[in-house]
Amino acid sequence: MSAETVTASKKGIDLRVVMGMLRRLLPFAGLALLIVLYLISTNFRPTSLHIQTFIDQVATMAIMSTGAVFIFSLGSFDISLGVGAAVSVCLGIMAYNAGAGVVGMFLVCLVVGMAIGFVNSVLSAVFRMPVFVMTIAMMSVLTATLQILLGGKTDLRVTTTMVEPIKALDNPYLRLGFVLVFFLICLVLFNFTKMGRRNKVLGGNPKVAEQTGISIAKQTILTFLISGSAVGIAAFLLIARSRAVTANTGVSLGMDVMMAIVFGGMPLAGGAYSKISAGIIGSFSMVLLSQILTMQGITTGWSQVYKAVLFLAVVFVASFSYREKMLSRAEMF
Amino acid sequence: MFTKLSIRRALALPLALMTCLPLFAACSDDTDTPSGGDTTAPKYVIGVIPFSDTAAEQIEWNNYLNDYVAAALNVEFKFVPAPGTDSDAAVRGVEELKLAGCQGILGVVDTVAAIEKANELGMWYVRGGGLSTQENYDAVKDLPYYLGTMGPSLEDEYAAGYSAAQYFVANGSKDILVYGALLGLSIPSDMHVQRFYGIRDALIEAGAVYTEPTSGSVVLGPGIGEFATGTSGLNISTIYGLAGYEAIDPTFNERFTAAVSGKSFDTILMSAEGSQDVNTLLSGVGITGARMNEVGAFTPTAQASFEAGILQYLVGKYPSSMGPSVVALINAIDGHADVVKAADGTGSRLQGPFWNAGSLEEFNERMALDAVANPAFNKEIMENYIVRLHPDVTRETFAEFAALDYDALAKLHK
Amino acid sequence: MHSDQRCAPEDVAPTAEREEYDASPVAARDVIVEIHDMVKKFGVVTALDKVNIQVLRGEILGLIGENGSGKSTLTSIIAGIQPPTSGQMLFAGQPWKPSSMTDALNKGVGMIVQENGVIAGISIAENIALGDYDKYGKFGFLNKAKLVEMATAALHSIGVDDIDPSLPAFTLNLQDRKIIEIAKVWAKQPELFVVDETTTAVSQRGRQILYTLMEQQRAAGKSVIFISHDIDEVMSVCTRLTVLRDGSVVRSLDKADFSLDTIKQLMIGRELKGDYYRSDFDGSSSDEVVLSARDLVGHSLDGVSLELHKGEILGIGGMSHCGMHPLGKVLFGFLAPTGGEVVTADGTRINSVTTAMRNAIGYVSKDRDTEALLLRAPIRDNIVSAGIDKIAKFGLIWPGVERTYAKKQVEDFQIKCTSDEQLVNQLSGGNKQKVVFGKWVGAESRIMILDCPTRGIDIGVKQAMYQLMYRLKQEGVSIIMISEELTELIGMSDRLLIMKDGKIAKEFRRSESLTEAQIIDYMV
Repeated sequence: MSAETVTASKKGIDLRVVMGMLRRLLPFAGLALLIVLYLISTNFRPTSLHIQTFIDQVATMAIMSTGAVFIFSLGSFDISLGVGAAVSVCLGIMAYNAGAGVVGMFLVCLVVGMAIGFVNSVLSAVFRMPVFVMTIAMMSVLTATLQILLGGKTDLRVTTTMVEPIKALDNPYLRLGFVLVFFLICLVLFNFTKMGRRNKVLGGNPKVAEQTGISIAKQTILTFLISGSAVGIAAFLLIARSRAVTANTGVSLGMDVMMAIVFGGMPLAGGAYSKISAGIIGSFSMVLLSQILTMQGITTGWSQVYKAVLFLAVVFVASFSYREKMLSRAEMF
Repeated sequence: MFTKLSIRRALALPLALMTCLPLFAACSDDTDTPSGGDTTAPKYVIGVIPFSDTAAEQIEWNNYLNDYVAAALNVEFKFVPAPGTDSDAAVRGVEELKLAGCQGILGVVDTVAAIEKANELGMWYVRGGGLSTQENYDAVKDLPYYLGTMGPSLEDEYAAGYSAAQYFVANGSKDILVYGALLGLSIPSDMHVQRFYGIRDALIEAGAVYTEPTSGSVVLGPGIGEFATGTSGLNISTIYGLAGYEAIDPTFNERFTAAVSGKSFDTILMSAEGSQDVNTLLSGVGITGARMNEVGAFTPTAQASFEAGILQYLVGKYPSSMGPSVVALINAIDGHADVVKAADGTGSRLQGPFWNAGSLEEFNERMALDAVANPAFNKEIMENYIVRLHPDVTRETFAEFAALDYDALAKLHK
Repeated sequence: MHSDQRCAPEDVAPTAEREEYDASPVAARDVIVEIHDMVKKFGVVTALDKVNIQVLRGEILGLIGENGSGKSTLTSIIAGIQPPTSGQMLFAGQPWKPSSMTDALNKGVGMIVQENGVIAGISIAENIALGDYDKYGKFGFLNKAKLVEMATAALHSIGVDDIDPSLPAFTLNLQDRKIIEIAKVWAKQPELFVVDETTTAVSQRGRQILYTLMEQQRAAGKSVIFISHDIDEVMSVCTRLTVLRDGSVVRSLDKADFSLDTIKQLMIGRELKGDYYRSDFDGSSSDEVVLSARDLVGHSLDGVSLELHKGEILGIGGMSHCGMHPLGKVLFGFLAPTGGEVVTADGTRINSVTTAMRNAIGYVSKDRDTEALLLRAPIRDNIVSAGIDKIAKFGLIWPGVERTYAKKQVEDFQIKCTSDEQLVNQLSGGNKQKVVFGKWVGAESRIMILDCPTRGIDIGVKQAMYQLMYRLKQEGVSIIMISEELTELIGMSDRLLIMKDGKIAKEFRRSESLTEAQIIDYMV
């Protein structure tokens, strides 16, 4: 077989190499294209408002998706991310309104986010269910929880008299700081620690993981704690942004996060080619795309169609599993 | 060497890029002036935050704005996806509309966080197509850029339910199912509650006895209780929930089947739209021929329902009912927010009444007044209330304009 | 992915090249199958490269070659499983383009395939009649009595009378299910009977049946193509054999020219130098016991006790369902026994993979692709996977350290690859196995539990693996080698345990005089 591979590559262009490069370059090419479209949309004169809004919008998504990359690298996903953030926001605001202060609010957000991740992963280990199935159930539970917390009201807001300290948090530099610090931590965790390495093994083949002494349950729990902490930090930034929670706060963010990770070049199956940068790159792309579509005046409905078509196109190109298909057939001889 | 497969795959990237091409195309369209527009008038850019991406009512509004108002009043409309009850999505929408150059927002949602963000970014905000809850209104009414709400009042909502119930009882209904929509669900809505109260009170006046729900049966928000026949001679059952919205109310169909099986109904009193969905559900359990009302909108969907004999009484908004909201924004952008806002400078609560139809003929008559090419709120009527063109417009005349009902509009068209 | 590439008439080889067949001494009426210039491509990989072959009436033609030489691809094309990319096939002088396996079977070519083709959930009779249901019922209903009658006759014709065809197929073990397939094909009385036995997933009984049927087929003037990895078997069963290498025919040999060395040399294209197995017959090893199992019960084990010494190669053999495969997993702590225990020299109980690894035990699964490798990951990731704890400092892994670690194994094991970043699924079976070995050797395993370590590996690489095992032994590493191949167990083990029905049936010491015949009695 290896002999044949060599023969093939001698004959001309090795398509697999080309496709592999394409797949790796695609997220960046996509981002570059979106930047060009964005500049066209702003007549090549993006204002400071453009930049600030971009940072504001990208920060929560980038943090959440960077955390979620860990889940994706296991070949799984978490559909409850958005509503998890909403519950964190809600409890964070409640704590703040009760006098916990900004730091208290941050800790509540963080702990709630991590607790949700913990419950997700522990229950999936206890019931021996795929964790994404658990997150589907968790989404319903969290939605109901949030509704009970809202107590029949349409929203919960930071008490008017206590708004000022929160308004002070609504600052692009602070957001940028959170993103950078969180990303760097994740970068190290993902690429340079045992934890990150084990994630890739587990994502590549759970059987191999078990037979190399990696505890699936422990690893899954750690993964969901990391992504839960991201949800918590994102929740904190959401409070800083809008100081309110409604019945479905963050739900579209949660969906965008999943799309963003794929836009960022994350293989859907997880494993070795998982990239921690996928969250950030993808979030940049998603936010730009969304802003471009609005600036271009795409009517309601069509913008979702554009996003969906692009998403499918990206998945299609990214699934250039040319070599895998070929080899699974070739294994016959 | 290159198999069909590899060629197909190699084509995928260019294809993906091509999906972006319409964006470029949209770009070049940007600078075009809407044909037939008032080219001397300033160009307005107004953002729209819809309440739904798919509801017929919203689509009719969008069509009115894009296909008529845009050219008539020289407005460019920008849309964001419907945020639903996702405050973060609403805030993001407002930010995007700002970047898109919008000067004001016509929001068919009343998320406080979004209105605060619009105010922060210096964009005028009108809550169109309905009212805000008192609490939400109080939270934003003092914001300088908040113009107020425009649409049917809570009294209108109450009257919509009341008049429908009265209409059917007077027309011989005996076995009635009262459909309470969002009552009892976790996303209560004042308008549904008021419509139900209207239905409830009309039935009580007919002699029925109403018992409020016991607290144990209601988890959140106002619930729906039970009716006893009393002196009315009516057999009344109740059901709450959202037909046809599995995502929001996944168990509705089961609840519905449980509530109606073994019974027969000649009338369904609805405090929302969706007569066709409910009719389909009823057919599923063998109940046919029941008469229904809707509190909804004058849309092709409602028309089909009328034509199918399902819908008999409609109270609803209509495509051009968004007209006054646009005029309010234009006035504010021109620097005349004072004619829109209340006298004390807070956001106003302007009424925009429903239209009613008790038959297909009435329905068609009203739709004819609101034709796409010449809608009820047309260019001429609206321009009369733009201060830039008519400096004599006052707060009072503007309120009258917003409150024009069907009869008044019909008279103006003549 | 290749249905659009059926062979077209214009692909027929030019006359000039066909002359060599015309010149052959075999008269045309004696040829049942002729293949001209067959090419089969999977993407950029060429599996068959202008193969020309003839199958004669009244012969058992052996096809032999290393993994990836194209022998299974060739027969699967003849049997209608897949079409060729180009080339022409003639069957009994007529153009041969079977549309499916069933089509081929109905027209006279029946193949017993590698993969298990039996559907477990339906009856044995229904399996035998698969693809032929129209004959046994109307309006979509099957006439069960008629089916069973036919199936009983079909089984009888291959000499099997003790299987009730009305039972569901899952009542048979995997090996016996092969018998169903044999009956199904045999019932059609094919002109050409193709037996692909490369995975040896057939019981001793099934094998005997196959030998008998193949001989019957030959005697009746019909033909057989027989594929096996086992050179000895091919030499004893076949009347002629054709050696394939890298998708091309290397040479065909008549029975008179069969010789083990020639065949091996033809297969790998070079001479095998040095020892194939180890050359010494010194079965002694250190007295130091490094791992012992006491009364293991559960996972089809029924009271297994054993001791592994330092520097010992302990072979474990038996029929594939004797319990030796689960035993490997129990010894590694991957499966928990319901009774008994596995302990190391210092008394540590091995009750989890983590404990096993902490005590320098490594495990190579027989299911390499599904249990031992991250197929869609680079070689480096695979090698490092068992050594994460070894290379981490304060929980951190430095890329340089990792690269050095992986590179060392790639070099030590001479893994053929473009770099340690190459994907494992691009490697051959042998190189994949080297990666698995590298993973555990890199993790400094002192006890290696190897389950079928040479399964599906070409003989050239096999030899290298044996030498490696011997080297490890000399370095004091203790090896448990579980295998279904008696020859390698005899060739490599210091001690050999034969298992049967979950128990250890017999222990043999290393000896020059030990033969398969002595052992088989204890297995069956």
